[in-house]
Amino acid sequence: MAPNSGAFLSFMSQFIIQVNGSVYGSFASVSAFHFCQAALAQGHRIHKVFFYQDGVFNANQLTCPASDEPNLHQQWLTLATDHNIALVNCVSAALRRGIVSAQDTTENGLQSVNCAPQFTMGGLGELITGIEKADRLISF
Amino acid sequence: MNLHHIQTSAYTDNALSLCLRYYGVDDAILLAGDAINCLLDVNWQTQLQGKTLYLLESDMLSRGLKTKLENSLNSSHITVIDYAGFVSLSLQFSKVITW
Repeated sequence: MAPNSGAFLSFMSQFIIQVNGSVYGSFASVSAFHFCQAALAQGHRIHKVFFYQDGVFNANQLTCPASDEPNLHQQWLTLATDHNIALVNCVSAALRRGIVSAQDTTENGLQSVNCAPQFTMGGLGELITGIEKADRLISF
Repeated sequence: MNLHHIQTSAYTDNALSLCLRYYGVDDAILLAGDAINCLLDVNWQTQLQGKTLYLLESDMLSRGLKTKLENSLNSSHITVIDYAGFVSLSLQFSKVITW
């Protein structure tokens, strides 16, 4: 039996979600997405989803799954827009995996951009300030 | 009072065995994804004896393990939950540690 059952459930809580798994080929991202949906359905707030390690592949706007498959990249964008959630990539994790924003493209003399503009690039500091603000950090 | 969140197979990752080292009396373990498979193994069943366990229902069903795990599920220390239950659990415990 879990301790304190129900004690917190009537309050709205703040979550920050960390995603370490790629948009496809890993269970982490889709699991995190389902968790977010369930938390929002219970009236909780998710103020930030932080994408770290291979999680940065979720930001790739060139992701083109088959039309009869779920487009998880698009689902993150829609969820973020509908519920005002900040999508933040770890910038160094993104750059070393070739996920680049318009600014990164200019700074590094690259030819194209693949990071969706709804994702912002940030450092681990963004994760830390997000954890400070949240009641719970849940990592996937 | 921690919830240990395990989402990788005990055969390819040491997440589950590591978390057992730090398991406290009021803690619980949430098995998700391939981590659920360990319940098929007698050795892991023994190691998890007496621990408070939660199983993520959709992951158990998608692996076709409901019937195979019936005996384990009848044991009183395992509770099957959905994502809504996961959200509630994360707030009941003071911390969720993903290994």
